[in-house]
Amino acid sequence: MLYLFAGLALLFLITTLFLAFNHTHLRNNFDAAQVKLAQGQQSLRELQAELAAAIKLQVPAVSESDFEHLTQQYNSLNTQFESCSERCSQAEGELGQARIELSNYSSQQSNNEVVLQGLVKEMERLKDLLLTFERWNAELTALIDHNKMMQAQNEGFSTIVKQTIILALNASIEAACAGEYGRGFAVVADEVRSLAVKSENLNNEYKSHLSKNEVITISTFQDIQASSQLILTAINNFSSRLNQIQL
Amino acid sequence: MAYSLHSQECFNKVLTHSLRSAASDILDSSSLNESAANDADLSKHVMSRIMLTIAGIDFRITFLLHYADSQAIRGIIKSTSSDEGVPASSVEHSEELDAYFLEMGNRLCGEAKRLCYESFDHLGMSTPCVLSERTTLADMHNDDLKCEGHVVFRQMDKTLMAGSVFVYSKCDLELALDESHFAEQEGTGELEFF
Repeated sequence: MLYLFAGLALLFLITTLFLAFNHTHLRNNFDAAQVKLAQGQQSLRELQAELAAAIKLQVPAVSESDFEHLTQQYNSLNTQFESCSERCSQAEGELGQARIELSNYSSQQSNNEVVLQGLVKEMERLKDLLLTFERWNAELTALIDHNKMMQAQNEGFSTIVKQTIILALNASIEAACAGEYGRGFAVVADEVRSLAVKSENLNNEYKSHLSKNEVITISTFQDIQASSQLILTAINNFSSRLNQIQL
Repeated sequence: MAYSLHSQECFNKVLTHSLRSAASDILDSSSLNESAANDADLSKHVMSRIMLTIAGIDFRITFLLHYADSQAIRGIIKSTSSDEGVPASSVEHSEELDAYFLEMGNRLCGEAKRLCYESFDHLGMSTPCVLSERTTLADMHNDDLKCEGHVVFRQMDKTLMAGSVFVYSKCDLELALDESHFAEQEGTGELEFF
């Protein structure tokens, strides 16, 4: 019996010891869990605080008036956006039109370049006018020389006419000296003198015309000479401007 | 066709200024007196004549340079050459005298062209030509003549040199000049216009 009681007591003691050990272990686990829970709560609070701060940063608190103001601004911006959009559409249309015009212009410019090149060639060819002017100058120089020769011949003719008049006068004197026999000769001498005087008058008119002719010829010659210089200068100026366009 | 008096005065000024400039060597060293003249005054004298032309698009200006083929003008030319230290060019023969005045004519025409550029864009100039002695001023007249002016240079009442301008055009022609070109010359001598 005693042994039974001792066994029971020992069993009780062992059980008690086991329970006590178990309790201590559980207690430690509980405490560790409590610490972890506290740490978790602390972390959670910190996160909440950070979140609140973040929310506060991103979404500032707005009042109702601010909200209305923002709405108005939004509407205004929206209207402007629509207006811009409309203008963009117009601009796109105009751009399309401009592209077509540019294409036409490019085509026209190509044609113009061809015309321009043609013009340059024509201007170069016009410089050959110099040869024409030189030909005119040569011909007019010959005309001036011819005129001078005619004036010299006219002088010679004038001398002959004067001598003829003197001769006719002498013949008249000689006829008068011959008396009755020289009467017929006197008539001839008078006729010769009359013809010589008419020749002199005609010669003086001819001389005057030759003189006028000289002025007309020389002024025409000089006019052509000066005008050719004028024309060639104008052609050269025009030609150099055309070359500038090409560059 | 009516022609503006102002234009006529301007053409006379061009003639006088250009001739003074072209003949500056002999005018500076001689006692030639300048005076205005008319057609009749010049026609009285037998003088050699050189013709020059400036052509515009619708007009032409013709200058005549008259000079006496005399010992008086030869003496002036010789004294001028020796004053300048340059060997005197021989002007004993008429051909040499002609050559001297042909050169002067070129200078006259060049100066006149420079002045006329102020009013006209396109101008050309001819070479000078000697006219025969029988040519008269009346030969210069035709239907297109718009105006004429003359200036003579005399020594002891003897006309030794003269200049004439004739403007021919079928349309109105206006010449406007900057007066400052003439201010310097006007200050040095008498200026009269016909």
